[in-house]
Amino acid sequence: MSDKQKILHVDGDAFFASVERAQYPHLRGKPVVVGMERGIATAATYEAKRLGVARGMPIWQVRKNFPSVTILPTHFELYEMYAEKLYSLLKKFSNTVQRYSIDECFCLIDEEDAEASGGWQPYLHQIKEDVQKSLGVTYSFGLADTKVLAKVASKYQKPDGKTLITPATRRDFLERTPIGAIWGIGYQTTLKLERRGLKNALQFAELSRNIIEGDFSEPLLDIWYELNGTPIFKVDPMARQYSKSLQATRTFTPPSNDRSLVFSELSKNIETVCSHLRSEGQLARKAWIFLKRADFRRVGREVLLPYPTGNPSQVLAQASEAFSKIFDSQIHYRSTGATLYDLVPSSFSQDDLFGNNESMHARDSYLESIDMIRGRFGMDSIHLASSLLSVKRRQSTHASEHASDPYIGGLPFPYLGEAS
Amino acid sequence: MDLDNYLIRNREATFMLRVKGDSMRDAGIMEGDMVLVERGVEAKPGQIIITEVDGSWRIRYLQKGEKGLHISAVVTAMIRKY
Repeated sequence: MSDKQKILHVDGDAFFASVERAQYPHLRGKPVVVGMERGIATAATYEAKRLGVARGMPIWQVRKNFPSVTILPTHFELYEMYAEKLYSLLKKFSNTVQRYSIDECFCLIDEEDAEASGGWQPYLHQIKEDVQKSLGVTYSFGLADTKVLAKVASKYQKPDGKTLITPATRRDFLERTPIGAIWGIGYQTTLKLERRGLKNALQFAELSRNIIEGDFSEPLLDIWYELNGTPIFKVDPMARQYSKSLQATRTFTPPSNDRSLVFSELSKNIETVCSHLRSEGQLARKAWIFLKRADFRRVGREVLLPYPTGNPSQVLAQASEAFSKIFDSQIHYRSTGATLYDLVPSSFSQDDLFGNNESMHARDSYLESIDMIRGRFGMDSIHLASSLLSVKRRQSTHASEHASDPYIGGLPFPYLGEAS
Repeated sequence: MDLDNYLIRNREATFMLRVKGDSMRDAGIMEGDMVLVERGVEAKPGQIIITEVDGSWRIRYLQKGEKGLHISAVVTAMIRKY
């Protein structure tokens, strides 16, 4: 990175929800199957089934015999599509683009490109306009001299924000940013710093280098440098830190407005997806839960996890709060789902810098036993108490449609619906 | 011939819709056809556009002299399989 470059951070605003909102409303009540990318219809809406489509039917057969049926990839494939689109769009403005997660990218922006567009601020505006016009979804943009500052900038005004932090304005922004909001400063570190009387990022940045070196570990020193405008973390296009996302969703019949039942279904999905996550040797930093109503409309909410985890109890604890916010006992629901994303390998030692990993690993080690039991006796042989209602209901009614929600297929472009 | 390059101008801004009804039959676009549409471009009169009205997508020609219209996308290609 040279003097004549700045780092841009692009961050999706409630990304999954935004993508759903941009695409979904037009598919209500329509015959739809999911499974485009697999070649097999893994799920079909009621309307599709009524036409004669069956689960397990090859996609080519659906296309041939039921041309009115919409064929879609599963949702995380859709989110991936948007991630690919964002990456390609940003490559128009930068030679060095790093995909950091499914909805975040870092890019190196050359000063001469900015000058050619009338300056940093106008160029930032131009990039944002281009991206958002093309995708139909909003992102928040931050431009600064280091990655950590660029993240401060993109977070500063969310959603739909665009913020430039210059050497001249840096201290003002840091003063208005709490320590816990800094990328790389985790929960435990924040507590320790707060106990020392530090409240905002500026106070931390103004500590002397000796104190940082003496009392804290190296990663925190890197962050300190970055907050003070010295780039340490490179924008590395090859460092693809994320891998997809994982989702588990199941329909239950008949639709229900019973809170315990619906929550139990969600709990089971969380267990399932955590199990898959662990089998892939990964941990998740974020989760997304959603409920599908009887009218096929989906409501969802993001769930932030305090540390990278594959522990369903941990995810459930956070998800429970989100569930309360979206559940409405006046409404009947037909399916629930959980998506885990912002994934990191299990070996990743998380961003807490005070060696608190051991206690977390001890807490999660029972999961290995759970996985072993499931391996021998089946997925439903052992589960959280909160999933009990769901498991029992299925065992008695044998109802387990593997419904997932739709998105279009045939061609690799997001499907917006029908136009008349 | 590379179909992708032929049909698609700006991949990142391209989306799909299925046509319902026969309002565009004069343009040779029939019910069930797929259209590729591009977001973020300025539409010219005579082009086929997609707009959103009351939560539904509409497809039609852009007339000369229309003002104040919020255009969601422009149709760039139509695909029909036999």
